[in-house]
Amino acid sequence: MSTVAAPEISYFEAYSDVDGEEKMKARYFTYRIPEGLVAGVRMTVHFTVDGTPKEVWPFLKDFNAWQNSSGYYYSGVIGELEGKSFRLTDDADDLDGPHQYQVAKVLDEYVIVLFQPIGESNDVGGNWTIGQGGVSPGFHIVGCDEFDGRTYVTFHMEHASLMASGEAADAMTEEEATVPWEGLTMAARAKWRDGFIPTLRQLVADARRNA
Amino acid sequence: MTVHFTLDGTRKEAWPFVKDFNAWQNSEGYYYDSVIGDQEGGSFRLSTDPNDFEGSPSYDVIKVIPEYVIVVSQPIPEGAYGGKDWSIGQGGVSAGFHIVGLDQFGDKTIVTFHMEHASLVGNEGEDVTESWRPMTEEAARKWREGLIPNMKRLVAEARRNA
Repeated sequence: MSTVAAPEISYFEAYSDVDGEEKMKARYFTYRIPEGLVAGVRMTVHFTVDGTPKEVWPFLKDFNAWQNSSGYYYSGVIGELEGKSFRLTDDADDLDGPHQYQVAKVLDEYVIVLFQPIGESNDVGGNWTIGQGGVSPGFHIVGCDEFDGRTYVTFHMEHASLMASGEAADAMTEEEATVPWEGLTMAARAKWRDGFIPTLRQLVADARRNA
Repeated sequence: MTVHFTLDGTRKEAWPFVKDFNAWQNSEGYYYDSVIGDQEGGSFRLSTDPNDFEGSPSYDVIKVIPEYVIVVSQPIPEGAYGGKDWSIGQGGVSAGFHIVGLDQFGDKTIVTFHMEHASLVGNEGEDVTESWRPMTEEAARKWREGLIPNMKRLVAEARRNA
């Protein structure tokens, strides 16, 4: 039986931010396949929320609750869509378009796993059109659990796209292939730090006060 | 069962060991029939007997992103949960789902495991959690005293010998 060697992956760090228990990391990656040069980004976010998973989960599972204010809109409550799909867009009136995400698994108050099948366009989610598509645009895992009354939340997120094919791929450097990913990556950094995490914490805090 | 821990090493240094559960779990009596991080789309068998790899694979490797993510799912077993060593309940539901994430901050790698096991157990009114207590308590000890120290030592040794 023949085996196919895994492509060699090159990494380029985008940012690594540590603020106590809040950690955000992003690095670009590239690899070459017969179809051309693939590039993308892996983004990791760790943070804590003052509350139990039972208190956090109703908001964590509903990305609209804590991401709408930063300009991301989802066509459903992700934590209730196991086995189904959803759309992420940056326009609240554009939720009827193609779904870019499948919900592979939901374990209540514990885990969400998302994957993105190869689409017809190069929309990797949120109307970020990067490269040519042609490979899975992403895979994402979310974990949460309680330690000492606080919930530790971890996101591991990967996006990718074929950046060039044929002779254009041969001529493109790996560094050049990562450049189109800088907009999404830096926007995500600001959204998580200034919007998503503070908003999720605020929602949980408000719910605890009103309980 | 959730486990978070930190390794003194880069993700590149940690990954060869994280992806190969045999490397850090054999000493605690867990044996795998292959390197999990090389099995995306395949399946593997976990046994407490290194000579018992002939049974049905009980784990499916859903996704591997090198140096970053492993996702493993367990289909509904034909019999009780877990094969001959951990027979809990009647089976009848997916026996488990597990995600592993890792990433590097500074020169340390933070590793997270989120692991769920399940089986149809008991009747209404019974304390069904009793069925899971021995495996859970043993896992806590294995992780604390064996699995995590083993992995830290392997990465440290690899760094010294690099």
